[in-house]
Amino acid sequence: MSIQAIDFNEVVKSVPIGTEFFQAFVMSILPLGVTDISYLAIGPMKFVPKIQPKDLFFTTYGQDMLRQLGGMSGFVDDLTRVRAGQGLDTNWTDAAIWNNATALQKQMYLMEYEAGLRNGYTHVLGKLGQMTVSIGLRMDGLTGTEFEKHWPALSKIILPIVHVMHCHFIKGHLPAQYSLSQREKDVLSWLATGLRPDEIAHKLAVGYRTIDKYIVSAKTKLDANSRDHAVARALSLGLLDI
Amino acid sequence: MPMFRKSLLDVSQSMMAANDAAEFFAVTGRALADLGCHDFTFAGSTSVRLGPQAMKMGLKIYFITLLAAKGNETVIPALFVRRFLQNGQESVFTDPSIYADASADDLAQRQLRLDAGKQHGYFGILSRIPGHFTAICCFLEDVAAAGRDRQGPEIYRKLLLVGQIMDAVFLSKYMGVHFALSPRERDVLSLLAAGHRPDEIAHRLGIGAGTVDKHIVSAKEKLSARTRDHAVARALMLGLIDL
Repeated sequence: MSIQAIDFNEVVKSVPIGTEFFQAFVMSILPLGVTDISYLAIGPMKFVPKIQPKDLFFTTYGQDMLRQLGGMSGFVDDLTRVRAGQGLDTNWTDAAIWNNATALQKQMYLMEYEAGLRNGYTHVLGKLGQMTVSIGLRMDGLTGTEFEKHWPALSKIILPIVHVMHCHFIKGHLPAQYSLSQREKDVLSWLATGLRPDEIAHKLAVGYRTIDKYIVSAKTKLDANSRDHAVARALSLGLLDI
Repeated sequence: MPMFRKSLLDVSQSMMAANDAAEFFAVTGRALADLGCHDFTFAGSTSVRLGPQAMKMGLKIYFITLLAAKGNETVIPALFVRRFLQNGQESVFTDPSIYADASADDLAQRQLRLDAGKQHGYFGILSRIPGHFTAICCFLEDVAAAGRDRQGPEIYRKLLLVGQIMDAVFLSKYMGVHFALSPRERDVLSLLAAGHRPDEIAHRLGIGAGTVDKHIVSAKEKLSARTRDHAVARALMLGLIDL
C-alpha cells in the first residue's frame, strides 16, 4: 500500500459521501499524471442493452469534474470493455489488443497512438453482483515512450488509491445513492429468501399494507419496474444483507 | 502449512481439469480423504436468515452429493446433518445443542454412534449468498480419538479450505448442470430480473402467456424456490442467468 493511498484513505474518511468524495479522489490522482477517469460497471447485457444512468458511476474529462453521464461515453473502447468484462487489465499501448480489431479500429488506434492519445490503463476492480467494475485511467500528459517507461512505477502508487476509492464507494457511496431504509432492505432480503409479502408482514409484525408500502418505495428508489426487478437489482448491486 | 498450501493448488487444478461431475466429486473425495475424512455431504440450502423455520415453511434443502464413493446420489441424511443445515452455523458433531429437542429414537441413535466412536465430524459453511448457502459435512470417524482433540481445529481449517475450493469450482462449472434450467426458462428468468412483466415476456419471446407461466413454474420447481422473487434471486446469485 503506497503512502499516497494511506493519505487518501484518511482524507475520504473525513469527507461526506457524494461529490466531495469523488473530488478528493480526483485531486489525489491528478498530480500523478492521470488526466481522465472512467469508472464504470459492465454487465453481461443480454436483455438490457442500455445501461441505466445509475449503473454507470461517473466519468471525468480532465479538469471538467464529475459529470454523471446518461449513456456510454465514447471514451471507453469496445475492445477494452470486452476485456474488462472478462476480468482482464489492459494497457492501452499494448499492441496485442489490436490483434482482433477491425481494419478501421486498427487505423483509429494507430492514429491515436501516434498522436500520444493512447496512454492509459484499464484496471478491473472486482465484481459487483453480475457486473464487473473497472476503471480506465488516461494519462495524456506523457509521450508514448515516457508512459511505457514510467507506468510500472506509477501503477504501484495509483492502483492502491483506486482500490481505496472503490472500497469506500461500494461501502458508502453506492448504498447512499439508492438510500434504501433498513426496513426496505429487510423486506427485499426476505423476498429474495422466498417469503411471500404476507409472511414477511407476519415476521416483522407489521400490517400487510405496510409491507406493500415498503415494496413500492423500494421499487421507486431502485427505478425498478417490478418486484422481481427490484430484488434482482438490489442483489446485483450488493445492497442487501444476507 | 506451506506444504498443505501447495497441495491445495494441485487439488484445485485437478478439480478444474475434471471432465464431469462424478470425476469432480471423486477428486474432492480423495483430497478430503487425505485429511482423514472418509465421507462427506455437500449441501445447499435456503438462506441462513430463515434458520430453523426453513423446514416448517416447506423450503427444500437439497443435497448435491452424499458418500463420495457413490458419486452424486441424492439421499436424505441423518437428523444431525439436517439440523446443521437449518442452523447454518459452523459446528462439530459432538455439539449437544443439535439434539436439543430430538425424539427418543434420534437420541438413542446418537448414543449408539457416540459409543461406537462414530459421532465425530465437522460441519462448515462454504459460502453465503442471499437466498442460498452451501455447506460441507465431513465425517471423521477414522481419525483416532487421541489425535482428534490435539489436531482437531487444524484439520477443520484444512477441510474448510478444500471445501471452499470445491464450492468455487462447483459454482462456476457444475451449478448450471445441477439445476438444469432449459434455455427458455433462463430467458424468462432473465427477463423477469430485468423488470419485464410476464405478458411483456410472452410478447417479446413470441410465445403464449400460458407458456411463460409454465416456464416460470418449472423454473421455480427446479430451483426449489417458493416464489417468483425467490427463483429470480437464486438464479441470479448462482450465476444461472445474465442480468
